[in-house]
Amino acid sequence: MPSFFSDPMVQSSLLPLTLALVLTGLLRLLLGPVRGRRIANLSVILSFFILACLIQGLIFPPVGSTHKIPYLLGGLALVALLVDLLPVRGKALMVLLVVVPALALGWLNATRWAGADSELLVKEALLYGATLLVLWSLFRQRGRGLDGVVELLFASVGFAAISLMGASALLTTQGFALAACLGGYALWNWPRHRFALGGGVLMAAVGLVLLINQALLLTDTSVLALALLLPVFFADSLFSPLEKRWPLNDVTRPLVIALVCLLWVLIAAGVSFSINPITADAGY
Amino acid sequence: MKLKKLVSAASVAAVCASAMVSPAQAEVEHYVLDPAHTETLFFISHLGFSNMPGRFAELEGEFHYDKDNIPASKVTVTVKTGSVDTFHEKRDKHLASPDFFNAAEFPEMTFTSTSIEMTGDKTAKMTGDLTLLGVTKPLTLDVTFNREGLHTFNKKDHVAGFSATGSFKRTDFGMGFGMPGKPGGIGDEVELRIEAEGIRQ
Repeated sequence: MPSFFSDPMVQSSLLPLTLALVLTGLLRLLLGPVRGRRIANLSVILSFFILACLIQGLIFPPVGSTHKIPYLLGGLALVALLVDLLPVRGKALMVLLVVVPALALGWLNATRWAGADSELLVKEALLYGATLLVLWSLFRQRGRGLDGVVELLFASVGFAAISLMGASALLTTQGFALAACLGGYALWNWPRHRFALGGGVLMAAVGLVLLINQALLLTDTSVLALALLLPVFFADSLFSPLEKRWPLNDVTRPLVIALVCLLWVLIAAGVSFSINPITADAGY
Repeated sequence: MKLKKLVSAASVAAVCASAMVSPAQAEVEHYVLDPAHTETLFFISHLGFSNMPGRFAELEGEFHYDKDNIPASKVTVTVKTGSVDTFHEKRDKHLASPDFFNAAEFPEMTFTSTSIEMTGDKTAKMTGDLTLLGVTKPLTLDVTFNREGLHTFNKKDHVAGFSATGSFKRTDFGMGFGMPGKPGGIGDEVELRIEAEGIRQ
């Protein structure tokens, strides 16, 4: 049984999906119809944190940035809990969404700042800028069904595929695990939308940014391919002008958004493949 | 004036001290590892089917060899983790990634000996600190001193050579990717075989 749970295929699909599915239901059940609905999305970051611990293990004290990821995800889960429990809303939440990723990236790269060259600073500035855009996009989608969740799910799938081509199976496993966590949560919200997008999903997006940071700085992952994932977070805006003509409901809307996201992910993965192709002689 | 006196007194003291220490230090010889004749080989289980070999193409190191008091000898080695070579380019790229050696963040792996215990005329157990992925753990190697003397061909270099074997668990250093320790996974135990030659300076 332990080897079943340590199988990367299980860790990146069945396990996170089931865990998020069960945790979402449990949170709703235990915390009641009002608070439970609000906090249910905590299952996403919580499941992702548990999976990261399982995939990487917990090294104490965390020396390298890779070892810091599970600790940071644990911290993000705590922030998410506070955001949804209190709840933190409006401008206070916006300030939090600016500060939290800055602190997380700051600590993740702590050993690099002293000898930082211009390449590192440019990469980090661009990543932070993109993070703010992503969080703003998700922030504006609160209470709008599954849009943001589907976008983050496909961005995670895209990241996993691209990082596989950049030669990091560890990041790939975690990327797919995050997508599966979002999938488990999404199953509760489709075809009927039940729970609000809150701190749990927003902090999971910060978690994805941390993985992207690792891919950017430690692997040969294509920067261009990663940048092409950014429009995924605006898939809902892409067809909103057409919505007046062809109105969508809670059932069809996530499917259409998923199709738009899939298209973008395929483009990004295609660009990555043209730069770092996967070949049969990968040596695994 | 006072400063001048102080400086000259310090100089005299230093000369006396070095004269007193010199006879003891004369026995300690300083060797630098010859990269052309030094190999750090490792073997690791590939899914339980075979034990795949690998090496590090770039390393440097030195040892202070005390012939009369071998336990007092010291060895330090620095290996470039990005130079991992398993005779397969794509796999090497993966091994250098954060999944394994994380060469971008931890470009070096080091070993510094802390004690040497003789177990025979030419054999010893050498214990030292192995630092990998920023984590330092003790590592004990079984060392055999092979030969020491003038290089057969160039008749110029004074060479000392030894062989060493040992093993460590990669998970002890936080290298946990690939189901280590599970049947059907990439092994946890890393077998080491080191062949080294040093040239006396």
